[in-house]
Amino acid sequence: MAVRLRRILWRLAEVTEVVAETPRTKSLLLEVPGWEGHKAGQHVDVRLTAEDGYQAQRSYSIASAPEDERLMLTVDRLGDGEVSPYLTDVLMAGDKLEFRGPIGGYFTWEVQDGGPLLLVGGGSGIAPLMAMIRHPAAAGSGVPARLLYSSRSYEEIIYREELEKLASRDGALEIFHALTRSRPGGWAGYARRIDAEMLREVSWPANENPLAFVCGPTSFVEGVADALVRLGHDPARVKTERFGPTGG
Amino acid sequence: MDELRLDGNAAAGVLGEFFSFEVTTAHYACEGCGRVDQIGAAMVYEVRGLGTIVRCPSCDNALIRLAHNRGRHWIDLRGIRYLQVPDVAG
Amino acid sequence: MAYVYDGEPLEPEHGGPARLLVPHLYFWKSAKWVRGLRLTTYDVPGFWESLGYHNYGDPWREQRYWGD
Repeated sequence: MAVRLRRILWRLAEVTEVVAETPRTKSLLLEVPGWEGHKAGQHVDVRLTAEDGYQAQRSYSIASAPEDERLMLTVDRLGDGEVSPYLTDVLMAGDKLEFRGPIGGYFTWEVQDGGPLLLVGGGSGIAPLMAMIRHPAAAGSGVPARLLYSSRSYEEIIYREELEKLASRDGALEIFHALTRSRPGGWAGYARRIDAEMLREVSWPANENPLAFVCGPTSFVEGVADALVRLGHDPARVKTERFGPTGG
Repeated sequence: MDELRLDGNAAAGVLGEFFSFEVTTAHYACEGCGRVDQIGAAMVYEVRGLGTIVRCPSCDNALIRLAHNRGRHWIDLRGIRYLQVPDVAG
Repeated sequence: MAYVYDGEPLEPEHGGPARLLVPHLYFWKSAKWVRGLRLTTYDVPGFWESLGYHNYGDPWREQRYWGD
């Protein structure tokens, strides 16, 4: 059944906290008066208006679970970005941020959609997947989930500690990391870009009919989605969210 | 330029400005090749300063073309044979 | 039609292998990734011209949108 949209209007959120996740990414914790809730996987559009009236708009996935009190957006700082440097370098607790949302119905997951879940993320593509991971943890369900997460280095793994905690606490969640550029001594995880062989090792067999969500830079997403389909996954059960060329 | 390609989701915000139902889960039939799928599975290209184009992943036909200028929305749906969505709740 | 830049083949990011270059009009008229040219005796509003953007597009006269 389709849902009648509330008119998704631009409104203001208050920044309550800015958290450094990695050297290049920060999470913004937002309070929204009258927030009606969201589904894991949805995003918001953020709009900045300069003094001369020029506006720039970008989409950011909601990284917090529907059960969380504050909305979390995780922003990758792009050196030549129009929006991200402002969000990571200038925005402070107490500031207001113009946004609209929650937006999206296609790349969403809730506990009643079932599993098993295969989540594959590249870089800041982990954000919407994190909402999906936090949701069953908060909702107390035991949907089996596997996360395959590609980062450039150990220091650049976003939410690293929280992921460790959630995996050890909850037998239903397994996490696999792939570090593509550098790794710490004694690294036991994958040490290369995600490829078909790695996906074959990590993913649920196609006959278990998993739901797959893939998010990250466009070329990353397309490579992974193609490989999953070639491994026999039903294309209708492989959902993708491309972030574009630079990954956010 | 494949790198610029985004998913149907990326157009959800702008489509929500004038559709009263959540569009990315609606089904379309492509005027070009007949493919039936959800808008969320189509490809979206955002052309900075000009507009947004939603293309069929099978044949690249422009399903939806959008622009917003001078306080007007322009919506070209010629590339879609029909849009189909179940009864809207509420 | 432009197909070389700085002695090298025009990169896809900038419209290669071949793009239109129309220096006297707004730059969005200089279509990238051109696949063909058709010469006609009549005018038809193009891709963006049919979505509210000016049919001619002279920047000196600020012809951005219909009716400018």
